[in-house]
Order: sequence, then structure tokens, then C-alpha cells
Amino acid sequence: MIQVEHLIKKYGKFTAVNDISFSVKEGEVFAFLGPNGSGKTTTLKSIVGLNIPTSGRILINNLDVQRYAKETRQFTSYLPQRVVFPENQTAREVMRFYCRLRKLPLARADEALERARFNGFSDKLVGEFSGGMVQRLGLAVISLPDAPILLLDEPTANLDPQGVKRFREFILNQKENGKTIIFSTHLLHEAEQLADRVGIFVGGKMAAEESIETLQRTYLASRTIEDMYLHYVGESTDED
Amino acid sequence: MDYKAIYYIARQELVINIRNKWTIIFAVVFGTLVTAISYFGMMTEGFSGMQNFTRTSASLLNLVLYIVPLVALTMGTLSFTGDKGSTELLFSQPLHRSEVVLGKLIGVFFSIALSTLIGFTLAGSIVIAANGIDGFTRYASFVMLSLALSLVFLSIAVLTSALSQRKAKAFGFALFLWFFFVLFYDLLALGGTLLLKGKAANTFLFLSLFGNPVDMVRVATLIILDNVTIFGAAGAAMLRFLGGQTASLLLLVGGLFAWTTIPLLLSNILMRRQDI
Amino acid sequence: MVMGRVSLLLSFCMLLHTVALANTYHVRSGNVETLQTVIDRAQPGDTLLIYHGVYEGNLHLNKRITLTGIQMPLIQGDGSGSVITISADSCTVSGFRIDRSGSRLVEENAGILIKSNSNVIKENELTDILFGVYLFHAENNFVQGNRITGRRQLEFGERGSGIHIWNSQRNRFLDNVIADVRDGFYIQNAHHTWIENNESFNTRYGLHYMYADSNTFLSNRFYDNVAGAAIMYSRGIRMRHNVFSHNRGFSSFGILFQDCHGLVADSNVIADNVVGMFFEASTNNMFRHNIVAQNDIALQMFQNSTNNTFTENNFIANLNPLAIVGKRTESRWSVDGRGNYWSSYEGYDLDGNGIGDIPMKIQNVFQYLEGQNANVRVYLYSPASQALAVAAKAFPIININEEADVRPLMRPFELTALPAVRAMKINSRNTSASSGNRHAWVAFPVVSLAVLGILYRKLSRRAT
Repeated sequence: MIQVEHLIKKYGKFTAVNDISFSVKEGEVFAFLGPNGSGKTTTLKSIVGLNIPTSGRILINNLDVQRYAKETRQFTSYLPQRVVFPENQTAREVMRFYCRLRKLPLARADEALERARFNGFSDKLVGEFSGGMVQRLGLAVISLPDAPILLLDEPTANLDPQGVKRFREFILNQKENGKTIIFSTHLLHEAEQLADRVGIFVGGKMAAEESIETLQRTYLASRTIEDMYLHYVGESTDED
Repeated sequence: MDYKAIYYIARQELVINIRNKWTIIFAVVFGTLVTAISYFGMMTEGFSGMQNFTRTSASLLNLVLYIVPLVALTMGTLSFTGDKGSTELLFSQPLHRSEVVLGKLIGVFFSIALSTLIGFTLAGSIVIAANGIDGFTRYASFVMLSLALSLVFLSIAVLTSALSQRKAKAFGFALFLWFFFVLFYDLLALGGTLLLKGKAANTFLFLSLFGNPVDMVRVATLIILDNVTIFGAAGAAMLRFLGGQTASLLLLVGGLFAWTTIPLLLSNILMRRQDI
Repeated sequence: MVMGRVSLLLSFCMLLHTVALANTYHVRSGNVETLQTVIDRAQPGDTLLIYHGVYEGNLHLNKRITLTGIQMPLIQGDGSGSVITISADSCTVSGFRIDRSGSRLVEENAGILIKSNSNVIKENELTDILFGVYLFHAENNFVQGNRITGRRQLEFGERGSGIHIWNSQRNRFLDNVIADVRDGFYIQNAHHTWIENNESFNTRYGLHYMYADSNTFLSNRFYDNVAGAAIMYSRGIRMRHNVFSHNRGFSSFGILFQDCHGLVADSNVIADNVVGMFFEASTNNMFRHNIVAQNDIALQMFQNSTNNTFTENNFIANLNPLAIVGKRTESRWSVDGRGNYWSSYEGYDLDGNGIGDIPMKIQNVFQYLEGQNANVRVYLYSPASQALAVAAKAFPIININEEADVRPLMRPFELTALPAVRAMKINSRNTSASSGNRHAWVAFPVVSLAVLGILYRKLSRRAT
């Protein structure tokens, strides 16, 4: 479904993503695990065509993302890190707008709001929403088009425990519906709980691409997540 | 081109801007200013109704030349360097980048148009009440040219946003351009003319008008409001240089069209290779 | 073509108070004789009463005779020469419609050509003529209340003048209305002419004037011409209560003075012209109590125009009060402590004597630049030109000329003659507001505001 081949992205002299290759199968949930600045966001944005790679290529359903940006975006639905909506619009207006852009019947917007249990908040202005509510609206927006691929950048950052729980339900639900999902996180347990496979990002490289079982074993061998990252980069942990 | 999507984005942008208190403040301030100018312009005891009309419209033009580029640049920059969290979501939809940009541009343009038209209509009705309908088409053309001016500076704002990408930088850039086009350019042109001699000075002077959309709107509006005679002998020389009144107007309007499309085409090329 | 047949009804009458025996003839159209035959048969001093109808021209008046039209009979020229030529003194032509003169400029083809003295031309209506009334070496004539309309279809250069005065002294012109000719009045080598209450529009020059001294202009209106008046090579002219307005074209002016000396202009209105008054090589003229308003340039002066005096004039809302071609003019901007009123004056009057406490610097820096290169004017109304003016005022680094009115009036000079001037028709004919359907147009702003309002509401209401 998604193939990333030798993706390199440089910002001037700084290399944000350094030769990353991997692929994600249909129906799989793939997590990008790594600390901030390890290249997760850049890779995700490259898949949606927001970032232009310095070299390498990305295929979605065997279509080159760079050449067929508009077509491949039909298959994806992307939730940016810390999503923002216009403050002076209501949740329903936001939903309807994205409905129209995706050429969906407007009823879908109201259904999605109900499914996300917005209830009384549907006709409130986004400006009055809490961070968690905004995130919920974001999830509702990306679930609108029924796109086969969901891409989520740090979806649980800034969420309260209840929000995290709701997010977990969302992912499992989408997985059940056969969606292919990539999300990025710096929390190991999140990856553990939700992903089938994990790509470990360290310093712009994908240090490893493991099934969740292998990952758990490695983690047990190291004491902290930092140790685990270092294990993958191949450095010793003997300084302590 | 996905015209429907462009329309929806434009409408969304228009709604967002209209609900923005700054747009409302701008509409009110602009409306008050133009109404006051036209009221005092038309109600003063004059020697000629037509001259009152011309002078009043010229005063309105003066205000427009300052305010419209400024508002177009700021509103454009605001809109095109929005929050990452919302631009990323919008640009990740199955659309070409040019479609998104075009939609936003049209949306902002219409919100400026709507908020200025209220003022223009109030001022226009005072002018009509005092002077009759004689100047109606001329006044309407002036309003059109003002809108064209806002469109030109919106597309300049698109370009500067694409060039600078970051909001603060883009704002600085936009303010500089405002200062440059509204004030500095003309001073340079005037200075240049005084350095040159004879025919070269005049060629330079007339060509220099086309380097600045503010000047093009100013000259085109004055030609429409009062014929070229308002420029006296300079007007005759200009017509000879440009090939007649119709030709001059066509050249000026064509120039404004170029000033709208060329920045957009440049920013399209730029944005195709850019990260959002 | 109507052949002017004339019926003749002789009637004798004795004029009791004159020694001479004078006859009055009643002339009606439709009989065998032409009007000219009747004239030829009449004796000097006879009067012809000519009734409504069409009469064949051209006519030659070679004896003292009075032609009086009753109910505006038409005298139609044969399309060559002048319709009526007067070569005898003391003739009267009044109450006629006169049309179809020849079209040769060099042969003075006119409606009425006067080559003699002391004639009276009254209340005629002249149309389709090359020249209207042509005075050719003629003196002491009186021309009153005629309407002269030229050939609009011709270019200005191909038309003749409305009233053409050549080498003729002491003539008087009152209440004439002139349109669609080359020059309303053309006056050359004509001294002691009196021109009062005439009106001239849609011409090239309302008044074209050279080598003519000691003339008087009173209460005339020159408007909607390419140029109001060109007054050249003349001395000792008096002008009062005239209006020069709406003269708009590339190099149009209300009045042009070329080589004019010792003129006194008092209580005139010079409004809405491209250039109000233009001066070249004109010296020692006096301007007092005039209104110079809403001109693009109020005064344009070559530096060879020196020693002109301006006092108690009102300069109101001119885009540019003074354009100087050259360095300075040495004009006197005040007399006996009284300057002029300038609507652009930004000074103050602390001692409350009605005179501004700081001099009015007449030119700003942009206007000064305009004097250096006229084409700089394409930057008119540009923010830069205004900023420049403000900056130069605050930091007077640029040394522009020192034309200044040191005794500017704080308030417009009250013109006692103003009501008379105001009463004149100074609104342009070409651009007058058509107020007929003004009410219908009030609907426009109402409707458009309503549409905008609805649109606004619709967009700002939250969707549910």
C-alpha cells in the first residue's frame, strides 16, 4: 500500500531524514516511534505530499506521490500535529467544509459529529473549545472521507487521559474497518498497544523496523526508552 | 482545475474573514472616512458640480491609494501564512496547491471587496444625491479600479508569503512593499526624472508609471474621472507617448492584469518546490 | 429652394419731427419682387417692415436704411459671400433669422458684414454662417442681443469667428450669445471697444484679442471653450464681473495674457479651468477682488511676467495655486498690507486683525518640480507628492523659490459684487447634472446596501 524508498530530506546543511526505506501493507497499523526531531513528522508530511523530498520516492498504491500528488491524496487523510481550526466557525461548519472539499454528502458531517459524540458542541464556535475538543474535531475530520490510509502526527500529544483513551478507541475502530494507519509517537506504550509494527526513528534514520513482539523483547533488555533508542543506533550504554 | 473546491475554499475564507473583528473594524473605519470625505467634498459650496465631483473622487482616490494596498497586504499575509495546524490540514486534501491558493485569494479578495463596497456605496450615494447621475459610470469605474488595486496587492501578498514562509518575516516584507510602492517608488521616479534631461526624462517618467500598480490605478482613475486634461500638458504628452486615451487606459488596465497574474505565476512555481 | 417673392405695400407717412420725408414699406413674402429690389428702390432713411416668411439673400445695404423683421423672417443667403453686407452708414438690421453664408474664410463670408459706421444690429438669429457679424474697418456700431451659432460640423480651424472685429474703433457689443464658432469674439486693432453681458461657449477661444487697447469687458461669460480668453499685445484693458469657467483641455486656460500691460481685472470669476490665468511677458497688471477657484493650476506665469499685482483675490481650492516657468516672477502679492485669501493657507492669526501672521508660501515643492518639468504632473495626487510637500514644509532643505504672500487674508474677501456674479449662469452646459430621474437613482444605494447587508448576514450566520 505505502512504499517509501531511500527518502532523504535536507534543510540546507541539516539532514532531517537520512535515507529511510520501509513499506506498510494494507490494513496494517504502523507506528513511528522516536524522540522529537528524529524525522517522524518530515516523513509523514512527505507521504501526504506536504514536504518535497530532496531525493528518494514514495509510492501509494504504486502511484508516485510527487508526480500524482492530488491523486494519491485521495487515498490519504492526514491529521497534522496540533491541528488548528478557524476560531470563528462552528464544529459543524468545519465538518461541512471538509465534506464539500471531499465531495461527500453533507449528511456525512452530521453523522460523523454524532459518532464522535459532539452533541451540544456541534454548533459552538471552535474558539470556545478546549485542546482536547479540538483534537476530537480533528479526528472527526480525518474520519470523514473514508480514505483507506490514515496518517496521524503525534495525535496524543496534549491530550488528557480521557482523550488518549478516546483516541485509542478511534484507532482500534478504524483498524477494524480495514484502514491502513500510520501514526507517530514518542511513547513506547502507545506504539505497543496500537501498532502491528514499529519503525524506530533516531536522528533522521529509521534505526529499525520491528514487529511489536521483537520490540517488546528489546525493551525488556534495556531499562529506559532512551537506552532502547541507543541500542538501535548501536552505541554502548556504559556511561552510567 | 477543481472549480467547485476553489469556490468552497473561497467561501470558507470569506466567511472566516467576515467574522473577523478586524475586517469589521476596517469596514467601519473605511466607510466612515469615505462618507465623511464625500460629504464634506460634495456639500461645500463650489463653483461647479462636476469639479466638486472630480475633487471629491480624487480625495477618495487618495485615501484608497494609502489604505487599500495596506489592507490587502496585511489581510493577504495573514491568510497565506496561517497556523501550520490549519494550512497543513487544508493542503493535505486531494487538491492542487494552486487550487487552494486561488480559493483563498478569491475569498480574501471578496471580503475586502465586501467591506469596501459598503463604504463606496455610502460615499457614492452622497455623490449621486449632490451631483446627479452624470458621474455614475465614472465613479463605478473608480470603484472597480480600487478593487483591482486590492487584487494586485493580494497577489503580491501571496508571493511575499511564498517567499518568506514565516509570518513575521512575511509581515515585515509586506510592510516594506507597502512603503515602497505607496511612497518610495514615486520619490525615486521623481528624483530620477530630475536627474535626466529632455526626452529621456519623459520616457523614464511615463514608463515609470508601469512599474508601480499604485501609480497605474491613480493615473487610470484620474483619466476616467476627469479626462487626461487634469494632467495638463503632461497629459497630452503622456497620451502621445502611449497612443491615445483608450490605448492608455487599456495599457494601464492590462498592466494591472499583469501585476496580478505574474506574482501569482511566480508564487505557483515557487510553491511547487516548497514544503508547506 | 424658396424664392423670395415680395409683395409690396406702399404706405406713406410723414415723420412729424424730421425735415426729411421718410417712407415705411411693408414687405411680405410671396410676390414677384425680391427684397433686394425693394431695397434698391427705397430712398435713404426709409424703413422696411418685413413680415414673417423666407426671403432670398444676399442683400446689400448701400444706403441708410432700416430693416425691421416682424415675427423673425428668414433671410437666406445663396451660399456664397455674406448674407447681408452693409456699406452705408447708420443702417439698422433687427429681428431677422439669417442663415447660409458662403464658406470662404479669406473673403470674410459672414451673416452680416459691416464696412461702414454707426449701424445697429439687433436681436437677430444667425445660423449656418462662417462668420457671424464681421466688422471690417467700421466704427461706432452697436451690436445687441444677437444669437450667433456657427457650423458645428466643421473643425475649429475651418470655422469663422462669432463676432469678428478688425481695424474698427469704438464699437459696442451687448447681450450677444455666441456658440459653435472658432472664436466667440475676435478682436484685432480695435480700440475703445465696449463688450458687455455677452456669452460665448463651445468655441475655441471665447475671446481672442490682439493689438487692441483701452477696451472694457463687463459681465461677460466665457465657458466650455477650449480656452476662455486669449488677450494679447494690448494695453489698458478693464475687466469686471466676467466669468471664465469650465474651459478644459490639455493646455486650456481661463484667460491667457500675452504681452499685456496695464490691465485692471476686478471682481471676475475664474473657475474650473485647467489653468486659471496664464501669463507670458505681461507686466504691470492689476488683479483685485477676483475669485480664482477650482482650477487645476490657478496661475501659471513665465518669469518674464513681472510686476503684476494681486490683492484681495480669493484663491479657493485650486490644485496648484502657482506654477512658475523659470525662477521667480517678482509679483506683488499684497498692497497696503492686504494680501489674498488662499484656501490652502495653514497659518494663524493671533492678533486677530484678519491677516495671517506667517507668510503664505504659495508653491509647495511638488509644484516647484512641476515648473522644472511639466510632465512631473503625472504624479499628481500621488502619496509621494503630498509626502514631499509635507516633508519640505517640516525640513526646508530644498530651496524652492520664495514666492510668498506676506499678508494673507484669513477669510475670503467679501465681494459686494458677488451676488451679481453668482446670478450669472456659471454652470457648464455640457456637464450639468440631469436631475430628472435623480429619485430613481436614490434606489441604487438603498438596493445595493440591502444586497450587501443580506450577503453579510448570510455569510456571518452560523450554519446549523
